[in-house]
Amino acid sequence: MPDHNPVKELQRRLVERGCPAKVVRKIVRETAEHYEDLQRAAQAQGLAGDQAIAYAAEKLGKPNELAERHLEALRKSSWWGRCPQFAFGVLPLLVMLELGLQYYSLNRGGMPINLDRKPIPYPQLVEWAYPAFYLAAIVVTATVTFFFARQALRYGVARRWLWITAGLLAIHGVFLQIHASSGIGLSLNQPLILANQKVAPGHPMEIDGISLMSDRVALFHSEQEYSSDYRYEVRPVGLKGDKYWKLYESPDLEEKISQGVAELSQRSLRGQLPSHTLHDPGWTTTWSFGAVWQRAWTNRAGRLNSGFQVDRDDAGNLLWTMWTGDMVPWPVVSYGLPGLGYGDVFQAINIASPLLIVAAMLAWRRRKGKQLLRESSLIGVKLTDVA
Amino acid sequence: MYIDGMTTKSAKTNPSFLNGVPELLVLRLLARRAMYGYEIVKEIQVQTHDALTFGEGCIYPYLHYLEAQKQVRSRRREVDGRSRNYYELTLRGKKRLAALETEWSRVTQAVAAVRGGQHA
Repeated sequence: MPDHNPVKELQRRLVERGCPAKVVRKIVRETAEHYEDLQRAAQAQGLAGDQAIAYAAEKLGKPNELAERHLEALRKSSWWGRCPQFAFGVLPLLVMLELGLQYYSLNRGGMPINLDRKPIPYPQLVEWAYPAFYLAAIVVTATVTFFFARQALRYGVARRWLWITAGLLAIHGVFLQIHASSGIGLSLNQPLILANQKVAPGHPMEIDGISLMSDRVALFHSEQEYSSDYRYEVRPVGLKGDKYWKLYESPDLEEKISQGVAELSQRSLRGQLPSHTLHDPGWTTTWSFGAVWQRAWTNRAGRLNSGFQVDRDDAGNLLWTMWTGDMVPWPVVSYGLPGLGYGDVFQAINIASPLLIVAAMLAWRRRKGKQLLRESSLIGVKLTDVA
Repeated sequence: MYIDGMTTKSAKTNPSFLNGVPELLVLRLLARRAMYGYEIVKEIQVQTHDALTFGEGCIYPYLHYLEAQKQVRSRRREVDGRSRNYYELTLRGKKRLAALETEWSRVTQAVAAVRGGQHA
């Protein structure tokens, strides 16, 4: 008797290559029936026992080659398998971009609240906004990863594409800004402190950057806006760990900074803001990817409850420099305390989740494969004992 | 799509020469009646007098591909006490077959015209 069964060999090979269980079952069943038919035909021609089995095995073909043909057919039966470069190398980012745009459009309808003049109506909302938005981001990242990994496994796409998708989504997670802040708008040219509180959900850096650029371009094309008080805005932003402030270019910049810092100091003394350190003057500089990373680190260190961030200004500044080749005309001053916060943990989870999900799905597939190989009833017919 | 798996009797033919032939033959056979894999292979051998043969195990990747393209559908049936996966043509498969046959006629007529010209 031949010491190996080609159908079992085919099954083992398909399982090893990560073929879906449902497909393996169908292939193995049909091939086993075919193998049996070949043995019957051999016996009808007068071959007996081992000769009939050897004849059938030879006619059936080499299991490894058959497995490759099945996998090729599975891949080519779907667009996912035919164009993995686009499906798993580009499309995940486009999906994230689209989801980010949706998210951003929601953000545009944010909730302005007068913080200084009135008490915060729902302070818990702001407190819970950070973890809520982080969780939402993690759920989105995990769901997108799961969907793409499932498609890759379903159509027998090479595993490297799963890891490429996971890597892209993980990198994208680094650039996802989660920003739930109470922004206290402070226009120093006005006697009033204009305050608003805004809950801004997270959106990808590229969308932030584009939106900031569109705002800036609109500002520069609007003479009225450009010469208005809004140009000289100092905007301290502070609640919980969100402690930075921005300063836009102004003819009397130093004075405005002094006023802003004095205002912040008073607030700090009144307990409205924690003591602070100033980071990264960074105005009228040329931005590079290195500068963005540096800023991101500064932001991370400057916020207690938000993770490593490349925010709207960083992205916008980078785009501006790349686009115009000129220095950025609007300065940004970071203000905050160094330290790690729970946002770092959330963001770490967001970055790691695609990789963990792909690893878990591959492990699950391997487990299912082992189960499949143990199923004695899988083939449904006796492979060698043909009456 | 071309899934290799069919050879000629001489086995010296360029495989790309047979591009599209397996699809045409399988769809044509299934247009007559529902068949299972082993039957299809044997039927091709018999009807072409062994001039064309499908690798025995190679028919299934091909059938599964056609099924994924919704040109055929499979159904489990029991005949003579044995359960089999029978394949039958779908409406899309019929349209595909008609297109392939038209194309095949056009090519064979064109080749025949050239060959006739050679001998003229």
